[in-house]
Amino acid sequence: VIPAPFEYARAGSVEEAISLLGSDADAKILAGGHSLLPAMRLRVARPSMLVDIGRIADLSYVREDGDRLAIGALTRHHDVANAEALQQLCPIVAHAAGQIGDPQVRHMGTIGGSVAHGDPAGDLPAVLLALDAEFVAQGPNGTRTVAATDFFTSLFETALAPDEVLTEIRIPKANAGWSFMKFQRRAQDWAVVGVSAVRANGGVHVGLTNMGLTPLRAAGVEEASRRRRGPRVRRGTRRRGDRAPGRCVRVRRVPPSAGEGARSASARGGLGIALLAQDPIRYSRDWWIEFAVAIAISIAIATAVSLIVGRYVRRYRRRTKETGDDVEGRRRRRLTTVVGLAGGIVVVIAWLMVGLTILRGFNVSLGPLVVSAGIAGVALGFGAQTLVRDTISGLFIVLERQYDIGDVVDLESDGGVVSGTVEALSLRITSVRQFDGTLSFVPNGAVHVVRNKTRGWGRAIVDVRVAVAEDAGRVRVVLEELLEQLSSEEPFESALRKNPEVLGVVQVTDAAQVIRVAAETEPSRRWEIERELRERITARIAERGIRVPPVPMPQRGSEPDA
Amino acid sequence: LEGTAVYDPPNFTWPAGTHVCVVEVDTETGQTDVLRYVAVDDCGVVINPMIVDGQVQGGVAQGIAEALYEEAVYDESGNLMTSSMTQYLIPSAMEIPDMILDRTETPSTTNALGVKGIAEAGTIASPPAVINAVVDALSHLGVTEMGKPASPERVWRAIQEAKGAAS
Repeated sequence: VIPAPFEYARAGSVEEAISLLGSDADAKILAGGHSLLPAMRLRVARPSMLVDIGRIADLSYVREDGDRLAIGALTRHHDVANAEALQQLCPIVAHAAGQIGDPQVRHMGTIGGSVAHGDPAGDLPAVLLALDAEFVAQGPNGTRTVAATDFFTSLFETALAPDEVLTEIRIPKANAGWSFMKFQRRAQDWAVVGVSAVRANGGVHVGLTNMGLTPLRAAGVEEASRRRRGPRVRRGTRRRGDRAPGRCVRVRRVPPSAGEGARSASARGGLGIALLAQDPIRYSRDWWIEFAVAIAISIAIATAVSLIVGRYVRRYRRRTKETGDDVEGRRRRRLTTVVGLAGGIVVVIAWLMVGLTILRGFNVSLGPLVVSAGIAGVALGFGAQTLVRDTISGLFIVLERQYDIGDVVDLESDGGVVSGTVEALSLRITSVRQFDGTLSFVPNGAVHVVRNKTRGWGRAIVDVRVAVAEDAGRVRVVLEELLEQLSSEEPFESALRKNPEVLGVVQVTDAAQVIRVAAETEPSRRWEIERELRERITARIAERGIRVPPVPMPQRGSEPDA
Repeated sequence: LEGTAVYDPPNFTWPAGTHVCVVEVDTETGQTDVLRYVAVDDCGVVINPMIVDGQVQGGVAQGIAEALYEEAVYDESGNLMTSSMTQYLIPSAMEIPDMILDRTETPSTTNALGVKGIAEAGTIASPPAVINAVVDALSHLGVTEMGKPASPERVWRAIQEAKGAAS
């Protein structure tokens, strides 16, 4: 439990470590200490000196180097597990590092220590062997690179010379499918056996943990995989929900690669095969296909939503055309407006989802985007100001029921008065069809005053001009008689809310007196009533010989769009 | 002056209980996972329920360890091979499942408090519960008995033997 006595020296640099190692033949390097110190406490290891390199900060890194990745030897397992470059470009290394021991071990232990220790039960050596990693060693005579296949020589023995320091691990990018499994009796224990498989160079590279004196490559499995273009690769299902989502590949019934010799070795070989057979290889080569499928699906959904919504909105709009002023008609127009608006919002959201799907496919995380949007938003805000104003105005137009689709309105906007029938109302704009067919688009934000002529009731007003000499009382009798006839005749009776009345003389000039007739009508039928009144009054006046002034006075008109 | 009093209850108390265990056995690796463990015990009048639950949990953990992990191994010449914690396997909290505990309370008639013992209930009931669950899980393969501990290797070998006997 208590180690044999030893010297301790802390190296501030790799060079210093090398010279310290050279000064004592039995010196050992101390990095994370999670393999060496337990061995020392069992007195299995009795170094005369520990050269502590644990604080050489510039040996902790993960970086891309061309088509390879370079990992500093002193990178802690925790940092390896969480390095984004590894998670994306060589996920098996990050995953395996995250499986080592427990969090405390992972925060102390280093990848270089795990490799240099040469323990066949370590998780990372077999993974690195499967990856055909290269190890960069620095000694008194400079640096050299050792291939993983030459590096692990025997149990706890490596190709490192006593005065060499492992400085860097170089691995290829391999994110085209991988698997890492280990069998342990107890969480945090060393693996009884472990198997790692990586898709590379058109085949599968398989590394074995704790199945021999060194980490091993399962040459038989790899050979089989080459022969069959994937070792009887078959699409499988997910197992117990802990694997990468989506399609997986299952490696089944691979020929035993270890197993001769000792009984326990055979049991381990069987275990290794069982493990290999169970884990679906994580399959990421076709990420872009999944991405394309995701985009296609979202576009299809958005298109379908647009089409369906469009159909419903059009149907509602069609029905609106033949509506009257009764409660049912008003209700229907209101419904059309709301349906149109809600449909528009749904369509916008559907397409927004497509955009988000694409962004997510490119691994654009939305958090930072929102933050940058906050900054860009200030700039964008000035541009989008009117858009926002239009939208909010649109919302209030609908909420406050200023007008609905089908209503006849005057919209007093920045560009003058637009009069006509409301054809469509979106959050941003109102489309108004003028009487002559012109379709005007008015941004909702630009609408200052709304004059809705189809709300509640309307008043038909007709001014009758007769000569000054005529007896106004007589004219009134004639007119009242006419009005009474009109108000009992269809289709006018239903258009009138009250019987029309003669208001009296509203203007007298040199030659003419103006007698006003007014009738309260259903809102959209006032013009019809006015026209009918004018026609009949003109005819009746001529019939009864009532004189009219010679110079026509401009008639006060209230026709829409006149 | 000296006084001595001895209380000698007329009979023993008999706590009773039933433990039910659900396991999942991986027939390819021999690995056994305890998925569910339900223990209902009767220790008479409960004075401190927390202590009673703790006793049962500890006892069950010990029993699961006995059923699946702990093993004293000797070599041919009788040397103990599992003489330290690096060789003698005991489970960690990760390997022990959450247990569902419940109890009935039937007061003992043999003492004034109506209490019975609880300490060993878990230890006694759990090894057979776990082992029987393993055997039951493998019964369709023809496995009829299982030694302790039901380690992956022992389970795997039992499966192979049963398969060999069947074919």
